[in-house]
Amino acid sequence: MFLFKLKDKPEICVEVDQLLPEKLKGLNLKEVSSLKVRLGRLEVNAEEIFDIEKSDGTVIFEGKWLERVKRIGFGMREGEILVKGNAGMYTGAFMKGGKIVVEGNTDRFAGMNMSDGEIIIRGNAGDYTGSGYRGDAGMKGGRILVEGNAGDEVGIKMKGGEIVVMGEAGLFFGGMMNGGIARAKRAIRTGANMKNGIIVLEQAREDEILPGFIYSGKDRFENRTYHIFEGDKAVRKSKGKLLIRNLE
Amino acid sequence: MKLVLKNGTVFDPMNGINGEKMDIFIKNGRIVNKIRFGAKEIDLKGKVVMPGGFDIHTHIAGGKENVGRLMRPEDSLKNLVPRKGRLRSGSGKSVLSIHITGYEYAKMGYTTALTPATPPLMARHTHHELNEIPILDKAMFPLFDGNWFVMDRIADKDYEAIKNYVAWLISATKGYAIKVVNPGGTEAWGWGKNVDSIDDEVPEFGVTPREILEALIFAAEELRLPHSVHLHCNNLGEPGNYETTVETIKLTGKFERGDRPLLHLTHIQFHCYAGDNWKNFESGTEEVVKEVVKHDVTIDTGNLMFGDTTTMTADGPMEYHLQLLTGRKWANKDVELETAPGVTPIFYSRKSPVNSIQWAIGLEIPLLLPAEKVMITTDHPNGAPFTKYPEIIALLMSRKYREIMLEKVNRAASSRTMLGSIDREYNLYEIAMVTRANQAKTAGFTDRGHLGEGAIADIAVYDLPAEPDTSDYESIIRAFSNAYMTIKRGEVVVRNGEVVNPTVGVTRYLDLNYDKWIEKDIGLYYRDYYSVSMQNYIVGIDEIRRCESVSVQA
Repeated sequence: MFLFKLKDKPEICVEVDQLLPEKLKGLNLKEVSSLKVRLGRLEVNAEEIFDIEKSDGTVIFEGKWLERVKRIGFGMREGEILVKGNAGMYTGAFMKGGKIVVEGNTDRFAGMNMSDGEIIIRGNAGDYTGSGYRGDAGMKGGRILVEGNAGDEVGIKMKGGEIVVMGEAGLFFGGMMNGGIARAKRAIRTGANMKNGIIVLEQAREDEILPGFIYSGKDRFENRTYHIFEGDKAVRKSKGKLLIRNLE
Repeated sequence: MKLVLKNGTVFDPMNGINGEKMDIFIKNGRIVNKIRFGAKEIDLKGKVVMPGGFDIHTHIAGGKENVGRLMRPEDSLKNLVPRKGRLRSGSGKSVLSIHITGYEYAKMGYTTALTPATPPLMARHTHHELNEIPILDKAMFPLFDGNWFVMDRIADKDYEAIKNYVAWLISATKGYAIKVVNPGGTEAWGWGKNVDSIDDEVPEFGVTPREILEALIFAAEELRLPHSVHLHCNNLGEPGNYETTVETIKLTGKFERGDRPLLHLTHIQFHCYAGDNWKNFESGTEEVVKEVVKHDVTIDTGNLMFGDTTTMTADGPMEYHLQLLTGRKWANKDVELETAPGVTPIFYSRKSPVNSIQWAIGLEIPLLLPAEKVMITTDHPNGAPFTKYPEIIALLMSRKYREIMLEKVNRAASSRTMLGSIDREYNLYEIAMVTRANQAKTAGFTDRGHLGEGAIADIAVYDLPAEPDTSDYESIIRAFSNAYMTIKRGEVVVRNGEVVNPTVGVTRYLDLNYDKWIEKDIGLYYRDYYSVSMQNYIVGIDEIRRCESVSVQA
């Protein structure tokens, strides 16, 4: 496939939702150079922003200021994207398949509304990772792995799939959740207004758990023993589960 | 500006023209009998010419429409329209932004749209939104259902005051007709209740929906309003509600004189349900249709089409119950002393037995009634966005399309309604009736909905043969969704389904006479209850961009 190397620090954020593996398949270098990249209200050729080279298998983004590149893998269906650095907003939003690996951090709304595929974030993830577009239900399927920490409202309104945060997550982790599974080491105000689905935390203090959750004893889940809370009782007919490994 | 449309196949039901080849002459925005010279000619050989489409019930502007827009950013995302030449940008699929509304209607050959159910307090907002809707001519109906003044006067049996109040309020809000939504129910909702039949009492006021309706029909008749009382019945969407609907239609019997309709029952599809609960829910269309034919009432269908949409009515309790069923977000917008609209999104699913039956009822009604009695609406955006009209037209015209759809939807649609057994297919003459002529006539727009001399030159041209092949329903949908040409007041605004000229439409309102003493009585309500003063309440003529007033001699 192709390697896109950011030439210079873009003055405003660049949107690259045309540079998807399925669209680049079978194109030659010249055709790729003239693909459109959105720069504010203008559309410019990709070659004006990136140095483009051939590479094997994966689509690679490289450069120092990649956090100013938005919509990497926006709505992608297949193939693989590797981001050697930080990625901007909406990375892997509306993703329907394939794989994205980000070696640095991601900005907000990574994996928004995704329905399938995989996103691996080696650094930290921003707010609203795996959430929905404003007003819409959240991620429906697929998997997001965050090796660092994550921001606020991660997995909000999610309906399916899996979010794994190896570090700590921020406020309202799994809020208004309706299905799927969300894991983190620790989080704040976890599962507020959740209706369905499972949230797994490694650690939590007893007074951190929201009053809408009711303790229902210890049980085994995936071959480990957890403290189980059911809720959020603030929602009618809620069937959500909050699993906590170490309750302090 | 002179224009001649040559060789088109004309369907003009009001003048009895059924598929005749003829020329139409346009001069200064109106249709004339003959132009001698100097006219621009447009050849429309092999095309169908109809009067411009007329939508009698569509929620396109006002307070709750804006709540819907604010509440549904995800709906905007589904349809993003960039700026293009002189056309403005916009977004939205079920809650469209203002400019897009005008463009989408014009693309389908529609030229007039009436927005019902504006709380009088929101009239200013509505007019400012209507001002910005391009191309279309518009009018607005203020709400009278939960109005404190009306209910107080009914309790005192002071019908003269109600008549004067109606005249004052319609003039003050620059409205066009009386709109009533779930009479009494929205006020009862203020107490967490609803009314279950037309003889239930409204808490605190001690009046019944029957009394409210009778008083307002009396007022409309006395004032000789061009459009009858525009009613959204009680118990919308409840299983077994057809009995309430039948009762309501019978109530008009006492006013009957036979010369004009007394009541317009809007989105009647939502009021034709039999059964006791959602499990044995079925169609009650037959009973309702019998009464509609017998009495001086008009109806529009309120078709439901599958897909995602936003429901919004001034019927707060109904929206609350709907929200409990779907579990989705909702908003209640209380308007002091007047009404309490609600908004909630909904997804009508083909797999759902209830939605499938609702869909089938919406088609049963026009197929069981004579075309003279039918008007097609979707109660935009409650049953479906108005952009689904071409599909409904195709469903009415093509039995094959109905059969294909019946296969795809839940089988309850076949087993619990009569849709599968109806063979009738609409022809273009009847389509012209149900999408324009009947509505213009019912709404009292005498210069619309026909192509006779003196009519405003609102014309839609479709790329269809005079007798289209009904099995090829896809081409019918295509033709009606992209008008070959739309002419608004003698100007070509749409060509080949593309808007080429976003003109400014006109807002029509009624100028009514009332006795001045009523202002003193009304003033007390502003002093004691309203949070605004009476002077700020009245919408001035200068606030309407282009207006035309209609005077009625009472």
